[in-house]
Amino acid sequence: MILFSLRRFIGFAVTLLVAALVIFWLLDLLPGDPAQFVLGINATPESVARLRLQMGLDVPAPERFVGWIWGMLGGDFGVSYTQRAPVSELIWGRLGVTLPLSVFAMVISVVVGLPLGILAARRRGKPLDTVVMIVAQTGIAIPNFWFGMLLTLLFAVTLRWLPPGGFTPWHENPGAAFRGLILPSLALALPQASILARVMRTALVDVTSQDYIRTARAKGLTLGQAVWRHGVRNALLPVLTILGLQFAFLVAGTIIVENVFYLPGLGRLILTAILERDLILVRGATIILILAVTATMLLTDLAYALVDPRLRERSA
Amino acid sequence: MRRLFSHPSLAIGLIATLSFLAIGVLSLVWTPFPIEQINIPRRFLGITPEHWLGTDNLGRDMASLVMSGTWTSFLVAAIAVIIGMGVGVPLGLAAAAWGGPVEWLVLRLSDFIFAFPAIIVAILITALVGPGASNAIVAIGIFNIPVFARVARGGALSVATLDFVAAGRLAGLGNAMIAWRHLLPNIMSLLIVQGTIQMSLGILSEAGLSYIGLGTQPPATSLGLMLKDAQGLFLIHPWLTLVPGMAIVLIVIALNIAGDGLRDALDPRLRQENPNVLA
Amino acid sequence: MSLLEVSGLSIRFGANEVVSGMSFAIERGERFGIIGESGSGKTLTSLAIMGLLPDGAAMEGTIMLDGARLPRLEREMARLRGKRIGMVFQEPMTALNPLMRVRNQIAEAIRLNIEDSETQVEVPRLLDEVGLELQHGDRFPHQLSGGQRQRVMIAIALASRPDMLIADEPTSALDLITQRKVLDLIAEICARRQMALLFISHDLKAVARLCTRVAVMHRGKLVETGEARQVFSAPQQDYTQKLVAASRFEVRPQDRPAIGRTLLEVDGVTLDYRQNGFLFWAAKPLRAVDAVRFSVAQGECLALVGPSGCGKTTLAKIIVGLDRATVGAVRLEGVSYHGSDLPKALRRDISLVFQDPFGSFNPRLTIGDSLGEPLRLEPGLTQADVKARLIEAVQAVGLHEEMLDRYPHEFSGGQRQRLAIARALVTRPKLLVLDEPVSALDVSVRGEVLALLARLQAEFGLTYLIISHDLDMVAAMADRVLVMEAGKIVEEGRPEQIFAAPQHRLTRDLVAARLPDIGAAPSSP
Repeated sequence: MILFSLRRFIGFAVTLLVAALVIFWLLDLLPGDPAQFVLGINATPESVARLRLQMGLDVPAPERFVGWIWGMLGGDFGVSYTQRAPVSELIWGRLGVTLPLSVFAMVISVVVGLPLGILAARRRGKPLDTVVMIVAQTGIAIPNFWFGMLLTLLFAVTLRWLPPGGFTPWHENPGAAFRGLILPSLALALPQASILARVMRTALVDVTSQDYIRTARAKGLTLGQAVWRHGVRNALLPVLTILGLQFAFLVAGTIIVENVFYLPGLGRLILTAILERDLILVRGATIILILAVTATMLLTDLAYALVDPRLRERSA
Repeated sequence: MRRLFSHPSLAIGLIATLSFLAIGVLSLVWTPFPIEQINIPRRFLGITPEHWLGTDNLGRDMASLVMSGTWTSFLVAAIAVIIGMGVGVPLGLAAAAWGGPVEWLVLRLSDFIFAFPAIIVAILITALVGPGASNAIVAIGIFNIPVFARVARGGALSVATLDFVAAGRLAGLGNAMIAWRHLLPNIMSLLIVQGTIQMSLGILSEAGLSYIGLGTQPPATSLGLMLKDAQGLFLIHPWLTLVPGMAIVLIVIALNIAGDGLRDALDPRLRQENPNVLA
Repeated sequence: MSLLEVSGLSIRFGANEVVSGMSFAIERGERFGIIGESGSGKTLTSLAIMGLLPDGAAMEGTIMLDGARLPRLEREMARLRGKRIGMVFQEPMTALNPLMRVRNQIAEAIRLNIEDSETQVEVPRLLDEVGLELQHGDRFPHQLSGGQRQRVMIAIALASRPDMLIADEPTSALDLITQRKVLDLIAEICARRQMALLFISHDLKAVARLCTRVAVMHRGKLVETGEARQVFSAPQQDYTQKLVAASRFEVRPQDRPAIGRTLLEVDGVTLDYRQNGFLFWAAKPLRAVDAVRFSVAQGECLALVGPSGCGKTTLAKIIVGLDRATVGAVRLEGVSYHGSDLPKALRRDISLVFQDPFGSFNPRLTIGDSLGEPLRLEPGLTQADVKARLIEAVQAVGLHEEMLDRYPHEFSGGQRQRLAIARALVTRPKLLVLDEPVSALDVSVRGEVLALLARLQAEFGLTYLIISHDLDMVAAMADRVLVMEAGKIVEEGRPEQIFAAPQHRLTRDLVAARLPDIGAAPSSP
């Protein structure tokens, strides 16, 4: 198990390093002269020179890359040119919105999706199954940001239960901050919950036809008991894999949904940075997003190994 | 062909998908109104005999916009699927046929690309070259690569254990011929099913990217871009949001139903009798 | 009153009746066998008794246990099958929950049917009864061998102290020695516990070993029932006679060309598999084949026997050029190679017939395309030549040339194996390597395929290398036998001599595990 975790952790670190290299290549080397790129063609040579110095472009590229990585390890992501503030501070401030938003959405989708999937599988072929699967089929097809708009129309405009958008910082009013995240997390969670319900149902139906369920029934368990005691844990294995991938979709989703609700999250920070050609900020924010995605995949792998004894030994 | 249509859900899904596609294709040669035609006095019209789906904030005909946007959605998603298949399937097949270091490399590469959700790729490209529909295509296409690589490898690996593959090797076939002659034909159905799934995901992703301004740009239009245009007005004029949103939902549902139906129709596991029962 | 009474049992899937009008009874403590080939409906019959029929199966007729009809309610049926009937399934790989320690899986069966408090005492006792050690209980199923898993299954089945044990092909996934041990274990437990047994198998000898009364099933119908000794020594029905004859492997001696000079030499072949280690510290390599040395003469039939995992299939793969030896070489008529570097020009001289007739044809290619594939090794053949060779090969195995345009799914297992042999013959090879050529086939067609192989050998002067674990088949076919264990050849000799006076421990075990020919009385444990 230790060997397995160590392997996975090394893989995780290598992935991050290569990702950083790709981002560095795209944003630092490909534009030719990033300072010129940031300021546009009309900039005076003096201002370009000044920015070059400010961005540290006088140093050769390999050294710049190492410096960037080294800085990040110490929490220094560079200084944003447009906002004139350390990138780490800017990102940290926005994570207070994006992180809770993704976590809420994940929790909602698991809490809603898994039980519905189990329910549908156990009532396979019955009306309840059909209803759940139709709802899930629709849920998967609804773009999360559009669902956000519909939620706003219903709960904020018609019913006036929740704010239509905006965000009160946590330290000012935690209750208001939380209320501000309810609709966005619901919007994000709907497609994910639908996917989870379907995957869970399929996995459980697959598991039900396995030989060990028949063994369990031969011991004296009813079909329902056998599926519950022996099937669900086995069915969770494919679900775990999907959960890891879903987090990547959720991260992507937050960037989009933040726009519907005017939330000051990471996504909006990045979009502004792109418009203002703030490459240092884009660089820092994307690496944080990739860190989130890869870390989730690492955790999924480890969780998988915890559940499945077969994987712990296979060191591959 | 008769086998395909013995599955009602497949027939419904395929017919619905093809109808949307036909509407999209039609928009290339004919729309009720030109989509660029701005007509401020006639804006925010509801459904009228002339404007079947009303007009938007600039007085453009919504029906025409939806038709054209449907075409964009299909086009972007389809090209992205072609990119994903074109690169991913050969990679997956190579991994299965050669094994060893090739397989290791393909797996690590696909793990690596998985760390870049489409939106991050789109962000990086846009930061570099500015916004455009091709960004969305490339971003979604790159995301599709590891998906197809994994599906192809997984399917090919289970085929590769069968004896006819060994028989092919005995007959002197090289890895490439094995992959082409024995592996690919036997994973085609898997790939087709995955293709419809990625189509529907691609349409959703295109909508999302266009909505935040990283995808299709005016004067072209897409369903996501229509939602972006309606963003500031949706509290007052929800209709402008409902129409393109519903169009996306219906197209994606049609594709998913077709994909599920295809899986049922093509999945050999369901057609074979269960060997444990009849042993 | 019988313990179990089945009358007029029919099972259908939609319009397709797979079991029709089965009637039989089993007395207390009696050991009853059902014999049938795959698809005969024997497994469905046992599942019907357990109330475990798959979805979509409709059942008619009555099943009575102790004079009472089986309950219809799933809850009551579950109680009944837990308490009264134990069942052991065919596939030990998948029949246990992979995520649960086996001790807990046994304990669950006890807790469900006897008393919670007894698990502390009962689990070790059951493990001991089925011949496992205490520490095996702490393992997960994947950490146990096939035979050990099957023992765990038996322990689970015994946990409720049932009146009857149903064993459905419990040993067909196990190797010869383990198979015999598990059969003996079942016989011993049934005798000790005075437990009735319903034993289901395609293997007449296994049934003969265990059962006192047997029923023969064919295409869903009961063909013959009676005392085991009587049915096997004087079968009444045509089908039973065919089965009994097939189990004896009587290959008629053919006029064969005399055995000639050496064709193939295996010279110190060793194969190491690199184990998956951690980064640079590679684990100790696994030696699959260890300095093997032997030769095959022109026109000879050499058999390579050994338990599963002994390296015999790996060795065959090296000889035909699918795998590569780490050390050592193979020489075919003096030309040396190491496995996968077998020169293209020589590939046509060696062919392989695979074990599984269902996996050996690409379902997307016509039989003609598949059969013609090896002819790529002979450049310069015209379309017409190829066609002629295919027809020649198909006719040689007793099939018709029209079959070349059809697809594999249209053929039965026996026909496919004939076609696989035709494919192996199409390049007119000198050496044919046969990897378990009949073990995946139904008993009744095994004889035909072996007779075909014998005829082809006589007709074309072929040289055979047969890989098998089946001593009876080897005894009938081979001129010379090599016994292999853990990658090494441990014994060599003529079959009569090896089976009469085995020298090595493994050979002795193998010969001892051989089930007696049917017709003899079942030995009492």
